[in-house]
Amino acid sequence: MEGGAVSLNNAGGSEAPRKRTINLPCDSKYLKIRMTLEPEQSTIPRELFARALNESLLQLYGLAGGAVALEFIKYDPSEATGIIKVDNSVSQQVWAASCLLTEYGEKKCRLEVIDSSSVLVGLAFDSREVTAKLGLFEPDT
Amino acid sequence: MVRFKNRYLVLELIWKDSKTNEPLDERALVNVFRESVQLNFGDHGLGQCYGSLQVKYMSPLTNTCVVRCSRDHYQQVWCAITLLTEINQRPVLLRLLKLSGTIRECRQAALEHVCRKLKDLEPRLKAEYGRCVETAKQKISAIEL
Repeated sequence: MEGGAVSLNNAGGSEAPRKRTINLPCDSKYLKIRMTLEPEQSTIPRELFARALNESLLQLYGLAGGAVALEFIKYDPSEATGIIKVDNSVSQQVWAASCLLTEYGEKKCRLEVIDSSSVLVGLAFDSREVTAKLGLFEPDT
Repeated sequence: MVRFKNRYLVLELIWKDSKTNEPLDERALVNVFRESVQLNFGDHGLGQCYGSLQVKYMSPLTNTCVVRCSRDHYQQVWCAITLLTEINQRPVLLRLLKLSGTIRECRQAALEHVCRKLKDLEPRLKAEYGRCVETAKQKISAIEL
């Protein structure tokens, strides 16, 4: 991983460690998507979320263009938020398709990408929220 | 300014039923092709090739047509046309005969194919054969960019 240059105290006459940067391409992308329906529902089942996402791809990119491999990692029905894994090359397609879905069935629907990361651990928590709770920094007003 | 590049597809329609050929004009055919692009590639795909997709020539007698589309999206158009299985509730197969970047080559390929087809139909056309060949030559020569 890249990092800033580190300067060491050369009092002991020791040589500074050699730094090597390796860029590793990430093949996949993780997207955290929240679904909202109008009129609101208390819980949105996982199947509805999956069907809405597939419908959005079908509408925008068609049968052939929308044939994207999606992997559902996790879904929380109470918050209607799911994490999906897609190939990096199609992540923008999926993002665009989900943003452009306005209705599903007879209800108004919105699929909002609230977070994205190349690694799953990046979606584990919101670092700003954690630092605000710990009182390390002043929260943004 | 960079010139807008096109691709010309010379296609043959192979009808799978034994019905006589119904009149199918360029406008009806382009709507069929657009529907296929929308079905297979969605609104995004249709929007990309809507403006450039045109049927330049259609002959119901020889079942030959010439389609123009942009160079950037010709593969989508080709794929959507190949995936068509019926037109006006009639089962059909569309086969690409020639893909060219210039209209001259496209006219040449279309003319060769149409003349070959008309030659096969000569016993049936009889006295009309010469007139059909002349009409086809005129129409194909009149294909513009």
